Amino acid sequence: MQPLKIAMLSLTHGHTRKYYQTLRDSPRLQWVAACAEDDTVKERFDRNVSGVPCYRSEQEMFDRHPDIEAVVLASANSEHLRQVRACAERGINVLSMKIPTFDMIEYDEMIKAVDQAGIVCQVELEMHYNPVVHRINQLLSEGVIGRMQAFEATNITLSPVWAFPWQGVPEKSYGQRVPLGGANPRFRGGALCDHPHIFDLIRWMTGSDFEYVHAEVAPNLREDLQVEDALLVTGKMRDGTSFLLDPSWSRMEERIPEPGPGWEVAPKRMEVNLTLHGDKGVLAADCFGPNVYHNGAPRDRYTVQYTYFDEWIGLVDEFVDCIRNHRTPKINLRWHRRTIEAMNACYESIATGQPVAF
Amino acid sequence: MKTSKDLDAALRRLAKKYAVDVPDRWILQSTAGAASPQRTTLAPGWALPAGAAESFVPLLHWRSQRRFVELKRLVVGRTVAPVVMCRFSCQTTGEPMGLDAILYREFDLIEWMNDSPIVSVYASVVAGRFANVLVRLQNGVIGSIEAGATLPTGSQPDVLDRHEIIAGRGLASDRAVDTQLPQDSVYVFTAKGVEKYTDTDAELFGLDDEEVSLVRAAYDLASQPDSADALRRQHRRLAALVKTAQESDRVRRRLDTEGAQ
Repeated sequence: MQPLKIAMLSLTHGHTRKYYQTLRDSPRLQWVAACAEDDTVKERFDRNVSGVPCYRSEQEMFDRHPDIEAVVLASANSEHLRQVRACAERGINVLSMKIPTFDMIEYDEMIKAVDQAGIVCQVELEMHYNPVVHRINQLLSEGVIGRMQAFEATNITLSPVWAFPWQGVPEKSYGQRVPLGGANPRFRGGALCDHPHIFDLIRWMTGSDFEYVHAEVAPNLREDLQVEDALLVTGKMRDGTSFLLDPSWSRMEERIPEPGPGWEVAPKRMEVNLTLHGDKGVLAADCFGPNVYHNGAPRDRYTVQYTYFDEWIGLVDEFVDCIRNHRTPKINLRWHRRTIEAMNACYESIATGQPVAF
Repeated sequence: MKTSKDLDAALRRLAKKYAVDVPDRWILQSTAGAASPQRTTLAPGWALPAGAAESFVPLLHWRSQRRFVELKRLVVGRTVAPVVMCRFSCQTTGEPMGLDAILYREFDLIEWMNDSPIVSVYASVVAGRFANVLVRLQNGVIGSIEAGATLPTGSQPDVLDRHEIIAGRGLASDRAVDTQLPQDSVYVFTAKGVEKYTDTDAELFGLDDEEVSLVRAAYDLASQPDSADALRRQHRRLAALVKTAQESDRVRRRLDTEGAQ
């Protein structure tokens, strides 16, 4: 199969550095160009990547590389619609970050643009390619724990805002400045916006849809943030499954401008743990464990050194296969729309203090 | 546990995906099997005799396990430094890894992680099933290896190991603090008891960690066929180290290893 000629836009998303490795290593991809959001980002790119031209203008990048077949939208959420339109106009396929947009009118515009252009738009929910998730789905399909009755999941991390400042700016993360509501002085756009995975996984694993959600936001751990950093979500699926989700930034971090060793204050900077209760048994899973551990440089703190991060291989395999063979990715814009609606319903629940059916 | 046929098929699928050539005469096995001039057998180094025929390529496949890759990365990157001591232990049921096989693997791990050869060995062996071993590396690091083929048949897990690297700045381990047993990624509790799963490789889903590492090591060899000579050299060295350990117990002396300076 001919390698897919791919480029990256903006380079400001938290997954950017993972894509550097993926785009370099995958024999299915030929990384032809990148475009940096600003000079600082470009300087970082040039320090980390060699042999790939990096531009400051998207227009210039597209003009100079008319052979680009696909792009990774490694950008702030507020940039996505504009970039999807630009790609659709050029017939360029899109690997979207996990939040296309929270504005449902914009979201439908994206669907329309993608449909009209006949391009592939895959949303990067990498948990779908995680071997532990694969095992869980296999066990569920074999009926090992019977009919699911309850689902608990964490998608908790440190806060990336110091390295990726747009994630702390409501207009760039949520798309507009919307107060959380009540007496809370903060705005939508924080931890919840960073963690769609568990809202997606429950749909996938139950095969059901949300009936209602109820969310509570905690006093912020980081008082200087404009956006929420700790919240809890409960509710029910239409099949009766009760759920409890924690999408918080509840693991503290050093406020460093670039992710790297010593970022963590809490030993484990990222966790996706699931507990599934069925009528025949219980399943408990750590999607990113076990690992190795140290308390060495640079901060001498007990730290989890992760060992399993091959999700991007499956993600890229699917993306390339969909483009080359004219298939629709599993996580396409239409599938993902309901997940985004659920996350918006959480914000509405926080604002009203009541469960939200949707 | 997958059969050798399954492992060989997994290797060929992976190689095909990445357009890497695996010669038809190659066969990947989890045990040594009989030598044949018509084929090249890739098998765990510990399963092969010291003087294995040229038709065998010994795999040091544990080096492909992500936990060991990350531990080595912590040493090479000086996240923990300077390393002064390693405390390794490995218990098995004896099948398929007996005492000599355990020593073979742990000797390789300590040399590979520290990028320094063992220069002396002292071993205390009991009944051919257990050994406490102290080693010294050329760079001054010392290490202990608790090796036992003493777990009862049917034990779960059937390999119980721990690798701890102790440095002036920091300690690294493949086991979490305050635990004795390895963790798994999935636990299922049903009326039948507890089932555990640890899946580490989406491309080789369905193989356990040992099997994944065998396939990955064979794939690496297919990608770099020239590395076979280095593997054979290290195999001969490791087999000699195991023999030295047994001899050390017999004569009750610390012994310098072959080639020690």
